[in-house]
Amino acid sequence: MIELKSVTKKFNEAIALDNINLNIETGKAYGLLGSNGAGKSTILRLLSGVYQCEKGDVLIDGEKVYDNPLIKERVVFVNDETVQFNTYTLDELKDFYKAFYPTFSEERFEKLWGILRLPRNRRLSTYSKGMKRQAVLICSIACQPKYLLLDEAFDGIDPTMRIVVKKMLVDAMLDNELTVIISSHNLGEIDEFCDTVGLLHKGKIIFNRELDSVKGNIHKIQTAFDRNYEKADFDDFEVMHYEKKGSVIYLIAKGDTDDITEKLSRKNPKILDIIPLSLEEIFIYEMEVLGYEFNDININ
Amino acid sequence: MFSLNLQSGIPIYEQLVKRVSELVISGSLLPDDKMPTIREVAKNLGVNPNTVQKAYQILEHMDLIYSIPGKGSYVKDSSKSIEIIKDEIIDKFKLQGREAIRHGITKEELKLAIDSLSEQVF
Repeated sequence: MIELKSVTKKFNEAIALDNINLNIETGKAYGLLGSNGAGKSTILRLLSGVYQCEKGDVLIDGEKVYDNPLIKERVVFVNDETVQFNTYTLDELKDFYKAFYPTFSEERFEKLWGILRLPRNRRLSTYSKGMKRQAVLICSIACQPKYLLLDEAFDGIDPTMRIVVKKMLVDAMLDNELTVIISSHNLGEIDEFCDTVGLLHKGKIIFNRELDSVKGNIHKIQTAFDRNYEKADFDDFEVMHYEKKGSVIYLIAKGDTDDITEKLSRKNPKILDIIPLSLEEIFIYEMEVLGYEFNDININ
Repeated sequence: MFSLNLQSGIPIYEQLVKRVSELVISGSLLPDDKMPTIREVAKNLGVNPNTVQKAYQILEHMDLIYSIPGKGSYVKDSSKSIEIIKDEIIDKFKLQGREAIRHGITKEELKLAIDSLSEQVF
C-alpha cells in the first residue's frame, strides 16, 4: 500500500507538489497522467526515497520511505533517463541492480533476457534508446520488487515492445503481487493497462478514478422527439451537458445504459442513439465539471 | 483468443464477460471446456490481470464458469442461467422492436430483417 498524506514538495520557491493526498492499493496498476512539469516524476522520486518532502508523509506499507533501506528494497524506480548507465554492459548493469536488491532473481533475469536477447557484452552507450530502456526494465523486473515505478516507460517504445513489456508486467503482478505505477503524458498509452488513473496538474491531483467506474458510465446521446422538450424534462437521470440543435437534442449523461434508454424510451423518441464516451472524452467532460479546460492540461 | 476493442469506452472486463457469455450461450464453449488462465488472457490482450480476474469472478457469479483451485476455470453446465440471459436479450430485442413498430415498420419488414440477420450470423 502506497500512501501520500498532505505531501508538499518544493524546489527552492517553486512548488512541485501542493498538498497531495493519494492512496494506491497493493497489486494495482496505477496510471499517473500529466503534462511536463505537472509533478509526476516528483511523486515517483518521493516514493523511491530520492527526494524528501517538506511537509506531509510518504508511506509504503505504513512506513516512511526516506532514509529507510528496508522499504527501499521493495521499490524499484525506472527513470526515463538512462544516460547514467552508458558505460555499463548488460551484465554489469545486472550486477549493479543485484547488489542493491536481495530479492534479485538470476533465473527471472535469464528468462526475461531470453525474450529480448539484448547483446550482453556491449556497453549501453552503443545501444539504441529503446534497447537501453529494455535493459533497465529487465534488470528492474528481475529485482522482483513489490513496487515498480515506471517513469514514462511506455513513451517512445514501439508498439511490439510495449506488448512485450505489458506481458512481463502481467507475470510480475501475478507472481509477486507487484504494484505498478506508470507515469505518462499520454492517456492512450496507459489506458488499457491501468485500473486507476490519476491526473496531475500544477502539483495537484485533480482527478483520481478507477477506470471501470468511469468507462461505460458516461454516454453521448443523440435524440429527437415529436414534442418540444426542454432541459428540465430530462431530470430523471444525470445530465452533464445539454445542447439542442433544431429538433435534435445532444446529451452527455451519466448512468446505466439500460436505465437511460428505458427512461428516454418512455418519451417516445423519433431517434435515439446512445454511444459510450471514449476515455479521453470522459476526461474532457469530467474536467469541465471541475472547471478546467482540457486543452490547458495538454495530455494528449 | 477473445477479441475485444481496447479503445472503446466500454470497460474491458464488461466486454470480456459479454464475449465469454456469447460463446457459452451459443454453444461454442461447451460444459467442462477449460477456460484460458487469467495469465494467458491478460498477456494475450496486454491488459491488467486484475481486469481479467474481475471478469472471471462475474462469470462465476453468473453461473457460466466454475473454478477448481490450483487447476483453473471451466465452463459450467448452466442451462438455467443461459435461459435467464437469453430472456434478457429477448427483452432488449423487444424494446428495439417496439421502437420499430412505433416508426411504422411492419411485421413483414421486421421478419425480413430477422431472416437477413440469421443469414449473416450463421
